[in-house]
Amino acid sequence: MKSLADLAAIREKMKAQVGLRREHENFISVVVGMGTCGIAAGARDVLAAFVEEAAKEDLGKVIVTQSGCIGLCACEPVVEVTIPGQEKVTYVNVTAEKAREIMERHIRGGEAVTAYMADAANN
Amino acid sequence: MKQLSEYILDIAENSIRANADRVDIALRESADGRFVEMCVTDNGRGMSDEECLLAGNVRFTTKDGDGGFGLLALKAATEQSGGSFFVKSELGIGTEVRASFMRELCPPVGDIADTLMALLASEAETRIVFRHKRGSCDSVDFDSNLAKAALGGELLSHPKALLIIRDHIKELYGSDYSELFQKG
Repeated sequence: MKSLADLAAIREKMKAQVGLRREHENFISVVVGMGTCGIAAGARDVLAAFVEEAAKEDLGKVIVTQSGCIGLCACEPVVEVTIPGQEKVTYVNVTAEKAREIMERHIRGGEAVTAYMADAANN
Repeated sequence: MKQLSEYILDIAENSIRANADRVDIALRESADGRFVEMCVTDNGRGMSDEECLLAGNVRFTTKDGDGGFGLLALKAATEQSGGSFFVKSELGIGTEVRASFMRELCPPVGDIADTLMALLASEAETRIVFRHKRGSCDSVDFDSNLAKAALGGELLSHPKALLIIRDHIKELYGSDYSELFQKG
């Protein structure tokens, strides 16, 4: 059974992986917009999908956080993916399914999913 | 929004954006069992009396950029369901938002575990305390400080940690918390 005691086990793993902590700024960042507009459009499910996928990766590789409204209310849920050394990519109208695809193709495969990007949606 | 837990997420998000370092979330039923109430209390920046009067009006916001729909949506939902809506706030002290719904017209509570996980997935690392009250039962069901203590100061917002917390809460309630408020 999973319990809060399992968190202590994670702590031990984290201690063993010095250099992967957030302070080192060397992680892939996924930020999900969680303003009213985002939540109403399903951002909570999108965040859950990213967290589930990110948890499969090595500790410290991918960090999923949320922010307030990113300012693209008409195309929520909005997600920003930043891979160190690369330009930030903004995805729009994201669903849990698209989130898994973005994890697979962009974060694991290294190639942004252009069809879901903000620029593609505007054209 | 379709679930009460989504409204809770939205209102508690306001607390995080208002720089609260602690947010208390409560879900309870009224003594006579006719109403379900959600309550979000924070120690964030708070609002002045003037701002508080405007809270829940169209496009009123204390945040930068777009906004001003969250409280409005909650207020409208409570009014449509024969409930009530209440905001109390003091500048520099914090804000309390209470919304009640007539049980029969209350949106399903939905996935409270996903809501708590989304709140914890934040750079702010705000302390989140969740409690429920039903009849004589009043218990704190989750306190992120306890989870943080288990992690010994490591990141609570790490995906693996978030999933363990979510599964822990899901085990307490199943995926739909509304069972807790079913009669009998």
